[in-house]
Formats: sequence, C-alpha cells, structure tokens
Amino acid sequence: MTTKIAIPKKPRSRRKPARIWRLVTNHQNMLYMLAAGMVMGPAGFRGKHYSDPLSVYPGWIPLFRDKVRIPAAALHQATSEHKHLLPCIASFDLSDLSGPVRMLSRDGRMRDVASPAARKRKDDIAILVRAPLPTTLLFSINFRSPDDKQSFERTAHDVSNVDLMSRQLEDSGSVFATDTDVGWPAAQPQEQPQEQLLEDGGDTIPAFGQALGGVLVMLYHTANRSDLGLAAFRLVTGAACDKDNDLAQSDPILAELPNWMYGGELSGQADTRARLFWGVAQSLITAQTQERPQTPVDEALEYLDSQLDLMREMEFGPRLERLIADMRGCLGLGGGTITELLERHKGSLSRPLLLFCLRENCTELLEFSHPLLNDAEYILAGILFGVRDSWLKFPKELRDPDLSAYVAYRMADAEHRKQDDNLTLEAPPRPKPLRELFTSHSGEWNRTQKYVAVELASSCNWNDCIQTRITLAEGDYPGSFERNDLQVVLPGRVTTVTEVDKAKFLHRLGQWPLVDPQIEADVRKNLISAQNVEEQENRHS
Amino acid sequence: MPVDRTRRFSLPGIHDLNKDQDEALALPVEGQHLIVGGPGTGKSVVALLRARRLAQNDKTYRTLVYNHLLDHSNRHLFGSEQTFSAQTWDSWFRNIYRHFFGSVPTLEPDYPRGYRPIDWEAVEQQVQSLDNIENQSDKFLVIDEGQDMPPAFYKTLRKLAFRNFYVAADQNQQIHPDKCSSRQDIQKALRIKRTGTLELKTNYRNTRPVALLAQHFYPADPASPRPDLPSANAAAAVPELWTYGSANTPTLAQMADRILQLSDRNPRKLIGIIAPDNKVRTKFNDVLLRANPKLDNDKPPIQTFVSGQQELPNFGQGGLMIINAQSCKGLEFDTVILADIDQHQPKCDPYGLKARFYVMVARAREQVMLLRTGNICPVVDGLLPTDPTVLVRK
Repeated sequence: MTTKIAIPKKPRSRRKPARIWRLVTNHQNMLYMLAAGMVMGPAGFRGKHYSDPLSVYPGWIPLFRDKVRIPAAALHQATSEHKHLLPCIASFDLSDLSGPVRMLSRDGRMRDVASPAARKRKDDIAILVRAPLPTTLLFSINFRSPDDKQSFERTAHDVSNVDLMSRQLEDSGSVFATDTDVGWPAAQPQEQPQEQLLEDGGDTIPAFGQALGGVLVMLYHTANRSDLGLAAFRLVTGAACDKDNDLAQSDPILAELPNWMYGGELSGQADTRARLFWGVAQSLITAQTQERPQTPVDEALEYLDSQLDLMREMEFGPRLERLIADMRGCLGLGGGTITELLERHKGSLSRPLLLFCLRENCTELLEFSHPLLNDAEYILAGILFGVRDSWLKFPKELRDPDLSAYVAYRMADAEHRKQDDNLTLEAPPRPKPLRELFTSHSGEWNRTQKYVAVELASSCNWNDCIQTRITLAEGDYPGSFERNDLQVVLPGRVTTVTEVDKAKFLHRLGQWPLVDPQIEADVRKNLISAQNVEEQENRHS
Repeated sequence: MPVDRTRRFSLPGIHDLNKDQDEALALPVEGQHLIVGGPGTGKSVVALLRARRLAQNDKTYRTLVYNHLLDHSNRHLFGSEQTFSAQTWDSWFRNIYRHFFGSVPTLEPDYPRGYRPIDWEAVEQQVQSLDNIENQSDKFLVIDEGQDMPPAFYKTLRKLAFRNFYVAADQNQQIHPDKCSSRQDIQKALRIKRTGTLELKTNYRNTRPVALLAQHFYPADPASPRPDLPSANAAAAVPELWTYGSANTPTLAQMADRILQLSDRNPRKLIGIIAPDNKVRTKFNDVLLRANPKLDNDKPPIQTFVSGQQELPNFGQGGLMIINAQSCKGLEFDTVILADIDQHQPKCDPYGLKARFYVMVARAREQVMLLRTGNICPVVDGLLPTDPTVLVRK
C-alpha cells in the first residue's frame, strides 16, 4: 500500500526511464538521512549510525539491483544492532546520476564502470556509488509490513527535522525477498584487496555540504527581507544579474560569498574583516569534522583569539579585542543591552558575530530584528547561523519542498566536487524566494502580481499594507469633505481598486512568522502560471 | 509593541536523540518499562514523547508527576497540539482509590487542617481484600520522576490491575529519601526484570560547562548512572561565580540590573533564580521589582512561587522566575542563577548540600551563575570547584 505521492515530476515526455537501485538499511538510519538530505557513510551520522550495509564499504553506498533478491545477510545486518530497528529498503532512481561507479558481483569482485547505466552482468548484485547521494534521488521507501511503515511514520512525527510529506512510503513484503546463497559482505577475492579497490574512498563527515545547505536556506529566507538579500540568493544560485552583482559588491565581506561557496580562496582584494569573517565560517566547518568539536561559539572565539594574537599591533587589534570581550560578556551577567552592544560595535563583521552569541539558532535569528542592523549585517549573520546549524538541524517549517530538493542537490554536488570524483547530478529547478516572484525587469508589477499581493496580504492579515485607491470622474470637487455621516457622496462615477502599498508589503514579506505554507503554495501557483503565460506570449510576439 | 516572550516547545531533531533514547522511545506500548538516568539525560523528554504518542493513538493515558509545579511545567513542554492528560500522582491516586473503595485511608496531618498523608499500610491491607478487580489493561500510565512516589504506590496499582507503566526515575534526585522508591523497589513492585530497565547515560539537556559543574556535585549513588558529559567541548559559557555586596564587588542592586539586562537580551528565555530559603527568595523578588535599568524592551516579567501557592507560575513565557531550592527538582530553565549560595542549610551535612547543588545546577540548559554575598561561608566554598575552566570567579 502506498501512502503519499507528492514528488514533483518532470513532464512525462522529458522523463528518462527509471533506473532503480535499492539501499538496505533500517528505519533510524533512514530518518537520519532524510533529515540530512543525503545518503552518506557512517561518519556523517556523527556517532548515531546503526550498523547496516553502509558500514561495509565506508564512504561508498552499496545499492542492490532492482527486481533481484537481496542478500539475506545484508537485511540481517541492517537490524543487527538493536532489536527495535525495523528493516527498510529505499529505492533510488539513478537516471539523473552520471559518472563512474563500481559494480559488485556476487563473488565479491568489483569493477569500475562508466555510469550506473552501464551494462550489468548476470552475477552483478550491486553498485557502489561514492557518498553522498542527495535524497532527491529517493524514489520510495519500502517496509515489510503496514505496522513497520506506521512505526516509521510515528518515529518521524516525534522529531522536528524529518518531513515525510513528499516521500513515497510503501509496504510490500515481496521487496524483502532474500537470497541466502549470496554472501554479505561479499567475500573479497585475494587478488583484489578491498583497500586497493576503495583507496580513493574514505568516509568523511560532509561538513562543508551540510554547512552550504544551511547557508542556502538562510539566504533563501533572508532574500525576502531586502533587495540585497535577494541579490545574494541569486548570486549563490547562479541567477544573478548585473544589478545583483553590483549590490553584493557593496559589502566587502558579502562580496567574497561566491569565492567561499565554491571552496576557493578569498580574492586578493579581501580585507581584514572579510578574512576574519570567512575564517570564522571555515573554523566552524572544520570543527564539525572533529570527533569532539567545541561549541560553535567557542570555536568562533578561539579563532578570533588566534587572529588577535597576530594583529595586536595593527589598527584593527584593539577593536577586535573589545569585540571578543563583549562576545564573551553577553553570554553571562555582563554585556548591557543589545542596543548598547550594537552601538559599541558597528559593521558587517562585528554585528553578525555579536548576534552569533546572542541568538541560539536560525529560527531565533529569523525572528529577530533591530533598527540598528542593516541588510548586509543581517544577511551575514544568516550565513554564520546557517553554517552553525547546517542543513541537518533545520526544522520542517524552514524546509520548503522545492528548497529542500535544491539544497539536497547542492550539498551532494559540493561534496562530490570536493572529492573530485566526477559524479554529476542533474540539478533540480532553482527555488525562487517569494520576493523574487514580486519583482520584474521594469520595476512595475503586472496585473497578476498586484492581484496576488492583495490576496496574500488579506490572507495573512497584513492590513497595514492594504489600501483602496478611489479614482474619481473628472469634475470640480471641493478640496475637503465634511464628515457628517458614514457616506461620502461624489458626483459621477468612481473606480475603486484595492491594492497594496508595495514598500510595506515587501517589508511584511520578510518578517517573521513565515507565510503559511498552504497560502504560499497558492501564491506561487498563481504567480508562476502567470509568469509562464507571460513568457509564452513574449516568445510568440 | 510589546516584545513577544512566548517560549515554544520544539521537538528534538533526529540528531539530538541518542541511541539510548531511541530505544526508550521504541519500547512497546504495552507492558512495564523503567527508564533510569541522571538529571538532564532526557528522561522527561522521552516520557513526554511517550505521552504524545499515546495521545495520538487515542489511548487512555495519564502522565503523573510529583507536584503541581512539575505538572504545570510539563504542560508547557508538551505543547498545545494535543490534549495533555496529566495530574499529580497524589490527587490521581486518591481519585482512583475512591473509585474502588469509596474513601482513602489517611494519617493525621502534621498540623491542624494540614495535608493528610495517605496511610499506605491501611491501603495495602484493603487492597489485599479486593476480589474481582476490573481489568485496567487498556489504561496507560506515564510516570515522571518516579523515584518520588512510595513503593506502596506501585504495589497498589499493580494489585488494582494496572499493567501498562512507563516510569522515568533517578534515584539521585529523591525528594524525601525515606518515602521514595529505589530502582529496585520499582522493579520489584512492577515486576520489571533487571534487563528490562533502560539506562539513559548521556547528558542531553545541559551544555558541557553546565554538565561539568553538575558533575562536580554528583552524589554518586550507583543506582542511577552518572551521566556522560555532552560531547561538545565548550569554554565560552563557563558557569560564573559572582560575589556582591562587599568592597570592590557590585551591589545587590547592580546585580539585579545585570540579571534584568540578561533577560532583556533574550526575552524568550526563562531564567530561574533558585534561592536557599524564603528570605532570600523575597529579597531577590523585591530588588528585581525595584530595579529599573536601561533595557531595550519592557521590563521582563518577574514571577515567584512558593510551595502551597495557589497561582502557578507561567512557564510559557520568558522572564524571571524566583523559586526555592525545594521546588526546583524536575524543572528546566534556560539559565539558572543560584542566589546566595552561602545561605544554604544545613551546613553540617556537606553530602546533602552537594546533592542539592547537583540538582539545582542541572536545572540549567545553557548557563549557570552562582551568586554569593560578601559573607563567605567556608563549608559552601569548600564544595565549589577551584578549576577556573569549570567555575570562573568574576
């Protein structure tokens, strides 16, 4: 039986034939991977991996052939660690994945093949794909029984960061048919030692990918707050126009965002503030790869302390020293008010770092606003918070389905680029923040945008930004009206238009709480279909 | 516009729950289960998630806690998504007992018109005489801080045909050791095999510095394992020890200003000020009410609670809550300030004092500050860690 099918599908004509491969695991690992947005090796679970076939070739994902019985020992391994673990088989459609993988035969031999689509031999039982894989490739999750499926759903309901809305869950006992003749782990032939075959493997924590995911989410949400926010989001999603580039260049730290995102060095023009800011971000990521990391605040402070030693004699030294003291002070009974702290420390390095100590997580930052904070400072704080929380920690409320799919792809893509393993994934469409749907080249809104803005403002009770424009027929009108009654009598015909005050509306769009997901989905549907019609008309004209 | 101080309950992330907690949450709905763990190991979290799941499955369940304050605090943590069926164990037991026997045998109160404790000896005798007990196997009891209920409570419920128990307990946190249940008492009364008891070992609630300080005061009863420290190393939010009211130290009024500014910086956070007695509780309440420092927002709400008080404090909003040490067990605050630590009694019982400090410190999720007056008490000072990485002197 299937529960929910809400996976965004490509139009039938464009869809490639599905290439299904299956991962054998348990329900706890599956939930963790859904939260992380990626299928990964045991290291990525940070101590919470329950032994399963992912443990066998660390850093490689063993995916069994579809419609072939899975090795009984693999299924047993998936639930061997605890009696409460439920087996599950995740089916992946690898038609969007290309690049070298390894084919595993039932006698344990491995051979390199050019892609998952390579011709299979009769005795091939699985492929090994370099981790991580994005959960966007997940086609369905199968359980042995309706009870197991229900338990999985209940467990997901107990946690904040697993959303099953767009997942296809099935209970089909037949998928669990096993083959007891196939050994698992497959015996390693003497002439082909595993170390040699997997020498370029190695299981690592996908800390950069996860941090990148966190940053993308924060940039997506902060994009609704300002034009600069929208420019920064477009910049990191490959959709920036010249104006966006110019805007992002206006802040020396933000200007280095693309360099950081693509894992490169900061530019030669990067100043001390930019180097310190991105140094903090990098130290937070490095800490995540350590067995016992410090808390992010400690990590940031330790990094800044180390830099202070290097620049004590420089002009910037005393300012940095005061900043570090106030960052520490505001964690305890020192510090003063937030206004006092922000007044003492100005600029797009100091203020994001102060906020880093004053607020605990991304949701708290998104709720926070202060008149002294400018757009760049807020966006940069969002970046630091995104790195700190990483994608894994984001609650369901901040995981829009299209955004989740895009982030999962970007995280896996970033990790594969880092590993330089030539695996390529087809990118899902770029998600558009709501603010972007209310922009146009001319700066003016079209009829649909105006209409949807009013609908959205009404649905969200943003009454302060709704206004009614009354256009009077031509004629002589007195300069003022005396209000004697509840009626205003005007000569001739009038037209009334309910509209939103654009500036107030855009301001509201970026404020907390987020727009209700159902309302947002309706708004998107209307605006995107209107956009498509407009694009078609433009093409025909 | 006044600032929003609403505290939200948020479910743990999948990464927050450790393997022990996963196991505790996966225990079968039916049967008798005992979860043992030190403060901050997430016993109450698994108990609340258990109750949540029972509510979702439309089971007849009841969450029982020791006192009204805990009941009230749990209600906030449970959230408003489902109806939380919870009560103090004493009032629930009296109701259920009346259902079977009409009245509850009680002992004489300690003072005229005072609380009449349940006469457990008489209860046990009456229960022995009962035949044809109606089946209670469709009812589910989730018991938090189960060490605080007497052994006779569990024995009686078993006799009254209750079969489904989910008990979270910590022997190191007994309120009245002579009237409380040990781990063995609960196991025996509910017929839980030794292997059927799950131990939660890792500190879940506190940051590492808070856990380190709590561990310094650990009273070392092996019945509840000493919680392992949280994995992340931390140094920034090291617990602070402040001295006030003497030469070259801040005045009490200045400390009040700092406390209010701390609350003002994060209006959704609840700061628990734990006092050794009513005198200190009143002193801090008064000075905080009088204080008027420069703040960004409205003055934070200042609540106080004393045992027996009808009006219960609001755990759903940030601000300051001043309580006595006796009331703090089982509660959780974002930040804890231990007021006038030099005033704790009895000084002749350092073991008892240490155990009390253990419970008080472990109430804090993020940060702990210890305040002492200029009248330094050698007994209390002797209990404090000297390592500045565990407790930093301000």
